[in-house]
Amino acid sequence: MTPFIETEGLSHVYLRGTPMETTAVRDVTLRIQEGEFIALIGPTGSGKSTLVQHFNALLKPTTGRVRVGGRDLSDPKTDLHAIRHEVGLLFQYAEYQLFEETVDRDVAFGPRNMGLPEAEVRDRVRQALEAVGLDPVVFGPRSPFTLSGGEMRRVATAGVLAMTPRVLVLDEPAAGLDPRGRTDILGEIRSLHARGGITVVLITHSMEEAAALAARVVVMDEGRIVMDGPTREIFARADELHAIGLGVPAVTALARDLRDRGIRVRTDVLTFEEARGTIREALGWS
Amino acid sequence: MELSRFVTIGQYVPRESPVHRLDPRTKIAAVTSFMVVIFVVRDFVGYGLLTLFLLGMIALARIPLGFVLRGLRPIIFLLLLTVVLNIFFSGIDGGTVVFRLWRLTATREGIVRALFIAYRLILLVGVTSLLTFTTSPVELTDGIERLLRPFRRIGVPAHELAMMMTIALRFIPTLLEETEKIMKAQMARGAVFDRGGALRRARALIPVLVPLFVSAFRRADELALAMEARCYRGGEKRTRMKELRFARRDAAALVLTVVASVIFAIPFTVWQRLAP
Repeated sequence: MTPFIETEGLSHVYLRGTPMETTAVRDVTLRIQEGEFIALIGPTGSGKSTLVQHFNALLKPTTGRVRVGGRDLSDPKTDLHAIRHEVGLLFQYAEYQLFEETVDRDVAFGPRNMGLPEAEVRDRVRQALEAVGLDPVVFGPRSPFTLSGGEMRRVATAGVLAMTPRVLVLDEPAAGLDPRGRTDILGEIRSLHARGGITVVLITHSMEEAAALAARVVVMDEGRIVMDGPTREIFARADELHAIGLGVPAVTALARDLRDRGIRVRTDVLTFEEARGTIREALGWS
Repeated sequence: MELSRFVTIGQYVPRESPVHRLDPRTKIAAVTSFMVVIFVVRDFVGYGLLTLFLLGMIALARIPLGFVLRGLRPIIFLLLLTVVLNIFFSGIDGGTVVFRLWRLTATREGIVRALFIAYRLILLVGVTSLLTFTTSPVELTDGIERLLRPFRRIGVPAHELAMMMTIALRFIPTLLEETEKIMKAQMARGAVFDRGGALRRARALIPVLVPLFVSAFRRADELALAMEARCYRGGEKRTRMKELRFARRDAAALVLTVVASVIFAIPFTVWQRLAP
């Protein structure tokens, strides 16, 4: 099966030819299949955000290639607007991009830019708001600037969802939200993926989020991809993750601690339920 | 898309160099002196010497020449306009006619003057950007504040002016970055900025300008709060962590500047007459 998004030897240098030149992404080759749920993790400044901005041609590679759905993004004949309709990108702190007078009109910005008929736009706005857990009747006519931070983040998320992209790239969608806001927004992303077969790339600093949601984890450090594999295998390599300033989910760390103290539990656990199961088993309680 | 690529004027380039180490007051004085000289010089020899001196300073400051030249990009249009206007409307009567265009005549003298004036602009931008490339905004405003201090007696709010400048300079890169981020976010939602007529392009900027203003006000608010939390209350009895010190190298630099300025300002013909 050919991958939907494919990068080949992708490098990106910011401010090339100036004294502030910095290489953000180095020689990244990555294949993303349709329907995958990938967590992209890495320390701050490891190039995650820069990398994903190549997926919808907001950035052009300094060297290397990007293909989306078989189309080469550096080919001048490729319609980049069509690519942006297929690959939705939600930036970090997306609540600061809202600008319209009402929530409805802000969410409609994307679909309108796609040139959809008005009835379809209205349908999509309603569906997108429902998908992020906001009642379209209550929130639709309000000004986005009267909402709370968490609600604004949801409106921004709806703004991307309303374009019904095939790939959803989320740059720390839960950063800075309260625990309730986090669970809500992540639950919505999970159910979107489960329902619609949408491909998700989730950038996160939370190992718990990565473990709970993603089937595959890609780890970046200093612009390179240093690990790429099934979630369970990646989080089994705790020492390597610690070495670059990352970690493992709390339950995985707990299991490793117990094992170190001689309790024979499995150490590849990722969720609370798995941890409970193996601990009960080790203690002979099951 | 990298907006800061196109706006090099006013950017600081941190380096270890003798020019960077100078006291900002020295640099401001030197630049002012050269700006006067640029307007005084009237012959090719003077401009040649000025150019050589400026190139030497750029090399000494370890700033890539290409980076300085890039700062000229925003004024290319202004340069062309200056040249064209001066060629045809220099107001020089008579002179050798080089060519005629419709009812306008270009004289040799007019063309020479136009090139002079254009080159003056280039040198001005070069000299002033050398100042901002080698002096951090904080140092620069510190220097200005010190230089303005004597005028406080006649009601010039030196500290307040300097603080306002520091803040404004400090936020140029931040707001550029913010603009870039918002533009990208709206492009990801299908916004198009580079198509259509003037009206459509202007309207396409609304989704960028509204969030930008909102965030600028938010930042201003947060900054004011942070300053107040640290008991900022203007310049009265404020001490500084980094005192400006006038060192021996500053004296040397000033002497060099004055000597060079005088030499450049005296027309070549005068030198010829002085020569035995």
